[in-house]
Amino acid sequence: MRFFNPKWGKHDRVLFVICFFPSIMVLILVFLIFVVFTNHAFPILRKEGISFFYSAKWWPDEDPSKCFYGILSALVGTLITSILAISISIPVTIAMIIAFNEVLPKRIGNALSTLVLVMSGLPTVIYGLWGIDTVIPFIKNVARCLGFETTGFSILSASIVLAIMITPYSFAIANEIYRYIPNTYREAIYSLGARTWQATRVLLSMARLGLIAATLLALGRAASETIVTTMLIGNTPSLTLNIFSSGTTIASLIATQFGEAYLYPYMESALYAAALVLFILGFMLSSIGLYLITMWRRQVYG
Amino acid sequence: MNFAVEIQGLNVWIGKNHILKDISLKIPEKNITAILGPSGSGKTTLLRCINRLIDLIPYSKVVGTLKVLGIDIYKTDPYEVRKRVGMVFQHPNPFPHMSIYENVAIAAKISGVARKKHELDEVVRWALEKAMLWDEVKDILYDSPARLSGGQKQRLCLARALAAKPRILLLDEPTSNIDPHNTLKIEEAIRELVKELKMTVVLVTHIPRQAFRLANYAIILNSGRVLDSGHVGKVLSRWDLLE
Amino acid sequence: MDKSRILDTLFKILCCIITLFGMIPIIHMLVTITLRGSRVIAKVGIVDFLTAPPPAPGSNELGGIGTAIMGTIILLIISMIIGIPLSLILAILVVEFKESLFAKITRYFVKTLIGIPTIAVSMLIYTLVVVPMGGASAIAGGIALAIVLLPYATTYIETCFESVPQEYKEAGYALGMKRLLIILKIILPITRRCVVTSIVLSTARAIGETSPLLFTAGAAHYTYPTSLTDPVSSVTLLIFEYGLSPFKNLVDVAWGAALVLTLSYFLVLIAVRLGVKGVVL
Repeated sequence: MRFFNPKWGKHDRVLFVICFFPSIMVLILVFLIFVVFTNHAFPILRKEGISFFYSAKWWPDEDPSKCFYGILSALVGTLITSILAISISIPVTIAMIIAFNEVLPKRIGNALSTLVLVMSGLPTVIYGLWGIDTVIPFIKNVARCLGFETTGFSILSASIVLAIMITPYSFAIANEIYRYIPNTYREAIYSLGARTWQATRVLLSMARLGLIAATLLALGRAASETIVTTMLIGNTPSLTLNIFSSGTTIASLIATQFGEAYLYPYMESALYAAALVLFILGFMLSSIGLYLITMWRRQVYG
Repeated sequence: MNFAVEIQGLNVWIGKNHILKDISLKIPEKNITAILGPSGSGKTTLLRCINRLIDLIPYSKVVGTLKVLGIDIYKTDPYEVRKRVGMVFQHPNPFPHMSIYENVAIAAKISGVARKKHELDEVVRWALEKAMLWDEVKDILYDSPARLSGGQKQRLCLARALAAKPRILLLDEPTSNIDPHNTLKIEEAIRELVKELKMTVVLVTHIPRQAFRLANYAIILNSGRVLDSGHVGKVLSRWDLLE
Repeated sequence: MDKSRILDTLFKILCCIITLFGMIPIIHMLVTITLRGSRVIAKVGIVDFLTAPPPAPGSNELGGIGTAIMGTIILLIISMIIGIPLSLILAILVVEFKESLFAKITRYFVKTLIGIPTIAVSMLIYTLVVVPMGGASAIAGGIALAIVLLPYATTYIETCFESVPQEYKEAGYALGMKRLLIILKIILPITRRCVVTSIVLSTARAIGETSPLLFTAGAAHYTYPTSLTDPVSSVTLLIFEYGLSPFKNLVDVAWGAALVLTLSYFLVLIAVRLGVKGVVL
């Protein structure tokens, strides 16, 4: 494999070399990420082995022989919050797609669609702040009605606000996918006399692969989200399935503990290992998601 | 007779498809040569080899010798080759973000034909006159080409190609998307170019009548191979292409 | 016949109800921000709010977010200077030299960078920049934001460049235009609006991020930075910290800051829409 394509003239080669430098920087960056994280994660994994992943005990201690760091509660928290979030978010996304594209008059549909798209870029702290003000007291009351006592900072609160935050994002992707279907198919199905719900079913099933991809990408985003979860989940490293109690996620664990981790031996390493888990999760989800989108595009356009 | 283009043993692949197979031909100077053939025969690919535009197509592979104006084009800087060879495409493609004037002027600037404003003005006027477009655009030179009709856009593209004062002009089915009136105008322009400027023209067309109208020589391609070549009348009647 | 129509109408209504259900929180959020935020800003006065430093915790005063705004601007400039030129060149590499193996590898790695959790970026920069430097700084925060911004800007700009119809590039090449000239005189002018939008969008995203700054920028809410190596505050960090604080006056400041942030975000988007002219293809 030659470095310079033989078809290029001298001018092209010079240009290519100039483009080479930023590219090398990106490669070095990715390499650095890989090296730094695996390097720092190694000590804790060597000390605790697999129990790092299945233990819920998070015991910081300045004495290296007494401390123990297990991320099970964080893992479970991440999974529960993100899955709960997309369970709420995906139906709403699909309803929005149908409403904005098929049901509502074009101008209103486009305007609302734009509003939602704009919201997808809104800084996440703002969702967190609003969540503290509105959702926390709400959940507190709901829990009280059901017989639980809680401060309101809970897995449920975090999941709800996460869902609200994720919906514009998943809408942005899914809407793109829906609109990518060539118009001729829409014309064809309506010309057969199909009603809205029949047409929508057909079109959505055409977009099926793309929608799955959108779900995975949204899941990845929810799992990696730090700020909303940290502000709303309560941050107690206890393992629990009670969604009204507070908990923790990998991202919020890192956010709250990393600042002072240098005081405790092995804690930094534990957090790096936790980050690595998040990495791998996010990487897998986004890779599969992007791959599915490529496959889907090929399916639609041949 | 001198040859403007000499091709020997040309094989072209795009990806896995073997588009041109063992092509050898010679295109005479200062004449119009038509390249005919059914769609998919490789006419457009062949044309794009002459100015090395084929290099821009991903996964393309070119094997063989191509000499343009005596020079082996794969041993030269591709950009120098392109400055001496002009091309008009099947779909009119004037640069949408430049004015009519700038579209023509930029060709002159790149090939070094003209630098200063008054030189450029001259070249632009000359090119537009030769493309039979001057009278129609002389009052709207600084407007966007978007307001021109398809046929006018194509004549603008011809003017742009001419402004670089090329020795060879490649035309890829230039009138297949143009109305009959503009087609005749473009054909007239081409005829004048060869007569006055002694330009070599290679015209790809799928209309045998057009080839007969304009060209002196013809080459017929089929499935990537040369089927026949020679004087246009003889070639066309040999293959029964004239009704 | 009629049953089908009734089902259809029910379906449409259901979709609209669910959509409404999904949009109500968003609207409520925007309304709350506007009301609570403007109450706070009205008490302090706009100019003061945007320029004064925040108040002491628990006091009766409201102060302002001047330090945070300055910090955000500094971080913005640093991340743009680092990130945007790199993105442009990377996009050029990926689009113009598409066939080369190198470009393909780069494209893959850039896409990988998009998936990196922003908190991990913070950890990385902490290890690579903050620790050797001895402390948090504006530069560290700026680099972290640049890393977050880069893959988005590159991908958006790449899409812009891809959208240029091949015929215009071919026409340019046929005239003998060199590749650099094609980029400067054809690709960039045609994609002008798209590229500006891409840059603005990715920058807006970078400013709105909090996690990359958590361990890198320093959250120096009370001081104005005097050099690039000083720690800085940022509007997002301020909202994050003050929103969680038990002191009411700090929470109020957070709401005011939230309004400022939201308004800036919307204004920037509108400005791009109106400001840059597109090219009719």
